[in-house]
Amino acid sequence: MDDAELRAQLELLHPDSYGWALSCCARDHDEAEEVLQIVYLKILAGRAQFDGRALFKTWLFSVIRRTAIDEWRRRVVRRLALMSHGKSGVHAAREETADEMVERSQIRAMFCRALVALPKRQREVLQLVFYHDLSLQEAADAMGVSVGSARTHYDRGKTRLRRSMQALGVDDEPGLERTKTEPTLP
Amino acid sequence: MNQDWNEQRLNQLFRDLRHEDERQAPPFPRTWTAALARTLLAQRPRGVARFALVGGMACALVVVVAGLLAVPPRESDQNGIGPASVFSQVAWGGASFPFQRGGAGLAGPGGASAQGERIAP
Repeated sequence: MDDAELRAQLELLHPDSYGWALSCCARDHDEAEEVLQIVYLKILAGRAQFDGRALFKTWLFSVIRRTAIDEWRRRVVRRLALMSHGKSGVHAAREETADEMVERSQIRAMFCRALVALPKRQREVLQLVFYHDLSLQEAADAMGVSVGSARTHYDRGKTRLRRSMQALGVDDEPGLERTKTEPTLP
Repeated sequence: MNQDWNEQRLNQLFRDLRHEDERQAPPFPRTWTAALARTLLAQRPRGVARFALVGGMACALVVVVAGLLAVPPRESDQNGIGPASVFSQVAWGGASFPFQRGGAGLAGPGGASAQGERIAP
């Protein structure tokens, strides 16, 4: 894959990559952008090379994940060294006018909170499957785990996320459609 | 099914989140350019370090060569009594070397030595 082709692929996947970087960085936008820059830097410098064994997207996601973990470690060490306080992980809701949009953004914020509160593996597999439309096999490849393990995290994550959403009261929000015939878990 | 509802609901929430993230995503050229700039910055110190290393080695080599050329040879070397000749005199103490002509080192019972002389029958 030559440089132009590589750049085109990265550009095509950029929004997706950003979403995945956000997930890996506990929804911190600044950190996600930083991680994405480092990933592109690694690719440009040839420190991360696509060998064609997996899908390009899966490979890119695994590079983003590893980079995010490395950056997180670095940040922790830096914070410990400087004894400084980090800023909040979740950005404030943007300014909106319509009530529906406000309501939606509130639900989104609560969903983000519930998502961030999930164990890392569970959050990752749910993000990869629901957000990035990857199969469980592809998600497992990106996470570097077996499919069985990915499936377990997937099932547990879904259950846990739903419980969190119910605890936050999001489940009964009218802003999102739901099937009325379905029973609600206690 | 409860499971289906769960998946539908999650799909909807994730779709909404994705839509919002895409709206807030930094443009690709910005991230790409920043990465390029960091590549250049990362390369510069490496080039400087390499230059410093090569320069340092060259300087050290010049100093060593200059030192060798500048130091005058010792008096003993000038008289031809170098370490090697002193060693040979001390080590063997004037005794005959086993392979020296006339020495008794490897001489056989008939007086033949290892000089290629034939032993008389």
